[in-house]
Amino acid sequence: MSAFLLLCAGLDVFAGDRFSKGKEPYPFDYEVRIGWGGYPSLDGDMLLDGTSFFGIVDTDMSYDGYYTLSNIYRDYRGRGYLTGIISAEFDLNFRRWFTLTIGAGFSGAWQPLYDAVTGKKTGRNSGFTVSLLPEARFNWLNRDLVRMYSAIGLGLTFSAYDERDYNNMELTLYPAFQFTPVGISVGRKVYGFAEVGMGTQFLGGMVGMGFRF
Amino acid sequence: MLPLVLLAQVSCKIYDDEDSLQEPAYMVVQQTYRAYVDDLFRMVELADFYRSYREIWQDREASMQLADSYFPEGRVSEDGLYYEMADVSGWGVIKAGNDGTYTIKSYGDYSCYVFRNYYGYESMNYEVTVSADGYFSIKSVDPEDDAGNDSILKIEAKARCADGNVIIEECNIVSDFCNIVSVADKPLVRKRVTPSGTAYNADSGSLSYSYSDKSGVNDAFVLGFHADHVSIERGSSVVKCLLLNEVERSVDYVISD
Repeated sequence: MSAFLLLCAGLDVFAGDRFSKGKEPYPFDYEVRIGWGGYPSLDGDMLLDGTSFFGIVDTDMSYDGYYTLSNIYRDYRGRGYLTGIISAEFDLNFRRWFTLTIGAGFSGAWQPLYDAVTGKKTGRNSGFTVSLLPEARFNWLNRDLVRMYSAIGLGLTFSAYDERDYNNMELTLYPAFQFTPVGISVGRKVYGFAEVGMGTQFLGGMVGMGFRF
Repeated sequence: MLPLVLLAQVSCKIYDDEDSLQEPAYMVVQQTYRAYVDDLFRMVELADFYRSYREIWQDREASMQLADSYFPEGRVSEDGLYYEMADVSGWGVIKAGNDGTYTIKSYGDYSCYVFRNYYGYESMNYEVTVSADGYFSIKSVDPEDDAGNDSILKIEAKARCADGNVIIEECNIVSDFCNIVSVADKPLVRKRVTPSGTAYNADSGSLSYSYSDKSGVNDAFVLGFHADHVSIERGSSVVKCLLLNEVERSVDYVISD
């Protein structure tokens, strides 16, 4: 009996959100938000490791043989650094339960270079990725102050990485994909949000702030 | 805005370590030692054995005993020993010339890519002259390789055998890109081959390296041989590394004090 009552309570929450309040439009048509997310695992693999994943446009990296003097004495790479994904979004609230987001993300990466003989720093490799990622966001919990959602998006990413140790500019264009199983925003007009995500932009979490109008 | 600035500070500390090459010259000396210097030691051993063999060659039993006392088992067969030539597996084929010189075709090894600009099996031809006081003068003649490579490679050395050691007192290896010269007051000394096997690393001595190629890379240093390590010396900078046969390629070949 208690389990049945709990089930009814759950359905009431869900149904009440979708139906009894679903006919009322969401009070805010638009949102803008900015956030920071990490860990950009694909950027780490592609930019810092030099592997090409979904490359559509790639510049050729000249290969002069592993055992040549120029390869043996090439500057070696130090620790790589990533800024994480810095994103900005413009959101359109079509329904209480559905939001279309148009987001742009930026991620920077760099890596110092050291002379193979002396170990002194000689410069650095550096680059960035820029992605355009429209997302469909499904808001499955809408309260006055709290919203919870899931989202899925598909877009494009462009990356440019200056590999000075190889005298090569790596340019890559590849599909962007991001899935957010759960996210939460807290606030009314001005809010904070946090979400977990997996995809080409980042693997982990994103936090940020937004403004509804 | 402030939270984002703080987040940006935190985000910068995402690392991705890369392996680092600690001493590039080590890879170069590994290749050259395997391809050329080790070969020189072997050619001296082969010439030393052949000189002794030719004095007793008519006594077949004594000849084989001499071969068995020189080289590990299985390296010399009875049908590989003649007055005019001897074939020692892993060392080479040595022949006597009319003017008292020997010619040797080494069994060879894979070439040093850095200095031959190709990677393939390479067998060297040498002329060896023996002086009255027991010195071997070795000179390379037109190396043969499996790629028809026509780059320059010239090897000259002066060596002797004494007290169970092979001592290379003078050495000159010249290619299109590199000079390797023995350091005059530090001859290379390595234990001579015995039936138990052959040593690889020299026990003492030094070789002076200098090289450059068209890509602009150039380096100059002294390779020092010690009992338990080799050293790469550039002026006051000395890098201690593992012995040359202890590792093929590893970032751990530099010995940290």
